[in-house]
Amino acid sequence: MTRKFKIAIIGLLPLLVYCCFLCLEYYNKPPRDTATIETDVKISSDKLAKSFSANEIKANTDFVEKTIEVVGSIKKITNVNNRYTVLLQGQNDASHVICDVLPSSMEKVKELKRGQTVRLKGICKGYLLDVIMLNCILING
Amino acid sequence: MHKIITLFFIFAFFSGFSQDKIIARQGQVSFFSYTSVENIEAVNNQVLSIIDLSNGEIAVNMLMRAFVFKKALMEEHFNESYVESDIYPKLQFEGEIQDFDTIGTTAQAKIVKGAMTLHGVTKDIEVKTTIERLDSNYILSGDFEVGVSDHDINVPPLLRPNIAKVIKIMFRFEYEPYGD
Repeated sequence: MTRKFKIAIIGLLPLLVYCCFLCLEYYNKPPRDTATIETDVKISSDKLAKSFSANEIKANTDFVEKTIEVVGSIKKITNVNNRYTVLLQGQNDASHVICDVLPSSMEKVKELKRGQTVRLKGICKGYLLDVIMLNCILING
Repeated sequence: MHKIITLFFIFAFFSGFSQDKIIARQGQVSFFSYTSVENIEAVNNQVLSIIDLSNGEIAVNMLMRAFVFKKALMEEHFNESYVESDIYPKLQFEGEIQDFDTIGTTAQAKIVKGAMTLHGVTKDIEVKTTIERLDSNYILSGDFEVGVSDHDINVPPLLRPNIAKVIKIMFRFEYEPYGD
């Protein structure tokens, strides 16, 4: 092994370690924090639910994986499988906007009441009978 | 198949015999992949299911994008490379609970037979489930296994050691009368 080659190896080693560190950090990156993501769409819960029930394909393009601030009246608050979820009134009693709340907003959500108008921010995932939003945080209540 | 399942849900909601239907809007489905390289697990807490108590028919519908992973990169790979959530956004199951006793209050072990559509491929499956009744509410829970290749899910050769060939699926649904 020549002297030049040894120097090159020693010189490149920190770069290699740094690259490994970056890869590891990228691999272990946690999901994004909703609070720091810029809002894409602001909409009422009844309009959001109506958009999906009217044309799911178009609504998927318009809303899925977008960060949405949704405002609406609380139909129900549930605590199932250790998850707090706020159901906002949709365009009728059969369809709602389901907001799965992050642990950081759980204490505030516990104090909310049925019928109260709230604004939540989360990531829209799509539509079953209800619009599903995950990683939701309470903006105001 | 998708149309049949959609019609089932519409029927369940707008049928005049709604007192026979129970609904779980927030069922939990999780999966676990174990290999010597790494373990991968994810959970979906927003799974929809409806049971018709009059005949034991059951339908399950869930968004693949609603699975939550501990690592963002795993979630990205799952949705973009494996289940292709843009093309196949939902997993659907339609079946029947065999010999379902809707009156008994003790826990029952029952078989659910039906067809599951995942990644655009429909397969007949049989799942052993435990059914508990609490007044007018029911809880269904159990687990089963799904072969990755059974649903044409392609794993790149480089990542094959990281993904189990058979994935364990766990589920738990809490049903209530759908009008509540």
